[in-house]
Amino acid sequence: MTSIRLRQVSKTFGEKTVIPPLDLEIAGGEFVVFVGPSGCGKSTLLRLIAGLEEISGGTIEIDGRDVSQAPPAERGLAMVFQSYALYPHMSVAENIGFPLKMAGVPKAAIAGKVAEAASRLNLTELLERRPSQLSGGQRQRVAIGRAIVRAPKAFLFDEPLSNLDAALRAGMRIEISELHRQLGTTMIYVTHDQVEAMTMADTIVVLNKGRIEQIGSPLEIYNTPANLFVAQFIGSPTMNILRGPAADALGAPVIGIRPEHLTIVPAAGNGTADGLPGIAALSEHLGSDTFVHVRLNEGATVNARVTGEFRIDRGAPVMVVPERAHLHRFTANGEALRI
Amino acid sequence: MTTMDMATGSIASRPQAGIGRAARRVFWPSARVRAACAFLAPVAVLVAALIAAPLAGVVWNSLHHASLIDATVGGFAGLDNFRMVLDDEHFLPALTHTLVWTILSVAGEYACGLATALALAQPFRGRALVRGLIILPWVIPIAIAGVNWAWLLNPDYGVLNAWLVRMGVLAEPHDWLGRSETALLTVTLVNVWRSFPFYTISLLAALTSIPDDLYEAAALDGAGIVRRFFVITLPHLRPVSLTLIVIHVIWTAINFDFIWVMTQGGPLDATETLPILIYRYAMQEFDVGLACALATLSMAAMATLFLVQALVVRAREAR
Ligand SMILES: Nc1ncnc2c1ncn2[C@@H]1O[C@H](COP(=O)(O)OP(=O)(O)O)[C@@H](O)[C@H]1O
Ligand SMILES: [Mg+2]
Repeated sequence: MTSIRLRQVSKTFGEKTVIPPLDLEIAGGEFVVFVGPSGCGKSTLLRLIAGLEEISGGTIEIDGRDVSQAPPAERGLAMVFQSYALYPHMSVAENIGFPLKMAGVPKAAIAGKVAEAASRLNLTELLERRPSQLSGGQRQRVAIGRAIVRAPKAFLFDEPLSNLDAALRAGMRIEISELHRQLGTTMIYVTHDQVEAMTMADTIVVLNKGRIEQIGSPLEIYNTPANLFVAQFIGSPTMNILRGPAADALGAPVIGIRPEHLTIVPAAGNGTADGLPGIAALSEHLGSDTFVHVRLNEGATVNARVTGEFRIDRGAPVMVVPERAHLHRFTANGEALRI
Repeated sequence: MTTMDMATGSIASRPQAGIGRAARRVFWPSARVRAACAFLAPVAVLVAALIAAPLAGVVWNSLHHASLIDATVGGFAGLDNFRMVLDDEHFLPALTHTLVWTILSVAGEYACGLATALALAQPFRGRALVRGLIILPWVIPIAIAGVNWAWLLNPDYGVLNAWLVRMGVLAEPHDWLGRSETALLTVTLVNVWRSFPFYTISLLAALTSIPDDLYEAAALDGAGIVRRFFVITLPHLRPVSLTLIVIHVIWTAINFDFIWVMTQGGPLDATETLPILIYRYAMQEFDVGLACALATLSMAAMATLFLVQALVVRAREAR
């Protein structure tokens, strides 16, 4: 159960500050997801922890030991790369066994552990193959196998599923979560995909331009985003934002409201007091849900989710009714207003 | 590949041929084969005229008596020319010189090329400039490079000797190319100087194509820098290295001009290699049959080497 603590850790490349000083504590056994848009510094932060990049300031502690200057191998962490980073000239078995070989484990013991990891990951049939003879999903399994055989203090994943197709990604998501449940090892998982963050994390760390915007459980982040950035980054489709008089009428300079908290009613002159009048625009029919885009009379366009199939003519006048209990209120500069 | 697929596709989409055409197929190669022949014909003519015919001429001459100056010499010689070559007291020394010159050249070139490629793969200021400058020896014409080195190495007015004496390495100027103990090693060194940039560039290209995260994964797995070199770098360099070495063994073994410019095979035949011996047979003894017999032997050795390499590569790819 390895805990990791970053204190005032920063990183600059030449003149460019990618990570301004930040503090972060990761409890032992936690599944932490770093999520944020592309280029926000997620990989850099992970690589600082791994020791693949030198920190420009601050300290990194693993289980209370300062490893800020320790080379990667001494930190006892295993990493799974987006590109898989399998050794192309070695068989699957040799790839998985490589860290054990480097650690001086006897051959027989290596073979046993490789076989165990392979059966756990459904790779037993493929042990003699080269990485080039495997599919993307199989390669990622080998990379995970190479990480688990050495029983690391913590696993670091850098967008491990980004190169897989959607169906495979959904399956691997479950497998990695399951792996975490079985091993109980601390895991840090980097992704730009908020679905992965929401479904896998114990704790989500939302990053933006190298800064931590919010730390919390998936539902905390979803239900009480700390600011407009988090509110709009987490959740699909994106949260609707109202400004100006429409927002003022709801009690804050900026109002956020998720598509599932908007109800659409026909505008047939029933004059609901809190409804926002508008015109139905595009509808997206997903079967399970229908997303109706409504151009409000005050100018903004909002997206409302209706469960199941729902038909409305383009151009039909409608009223959009927000659920009062689920409004997100923000200050003019985007900080959440807590009441 | 693509053109073949396209050709097949067009046949498949063509309406079915009538019975008459089907019957003709028995006598005519398929349209696909005919198309392939048409495309290959120009190249085949070129290869036949420029490569196959001269080669056949060499082999034919090796089996006949022929002289450059005496038109009355002629007739079938059987293996006489080969016997004479093998009995020539120049043959074994020339073969030894060729082996020394080739093996030391290629080994030295590979070592220098690998070292410089590894150095140039590291980031440092002015790297692009050095990468550009390093190919200079390779783009200087051999004759000019050879003459210049002969001049640099000259015992009387050569700059190199002057430096070595001034630095105290040598007591007095040494005639590097003029003394039989040092001549072969000296021309070999100059050849290494000339040829290694080709290795540098080829190996550097291979090095820069190795993904960084392989090294990072290995570093996390506990492999030190030496281990990473052997586990990641060397295997990546293996295919290009094999090609580099094979073509350079051939280029070096058949090289004539570099040695000729610097020593003409001297002193006392100390730098006489097989290509120089061939030249002597043909141009100084005017015995074309003899020259062609030696050329045939040398060609057979090179072809064997090339074939073995091709088979090794194919076997590896089949895996
Ligand atoms: N080695 C480097 N040199 C200079 N800039 C870098 C380097 N690595 C990353 N960066 C910059 O740091 C920022 C964050 O990159 P990264 O951590 O890869 O983002 P993410 O993984 O969140 O997409 C980017 O703007 C990127 O250009
Ligand atoms: Mg990244």
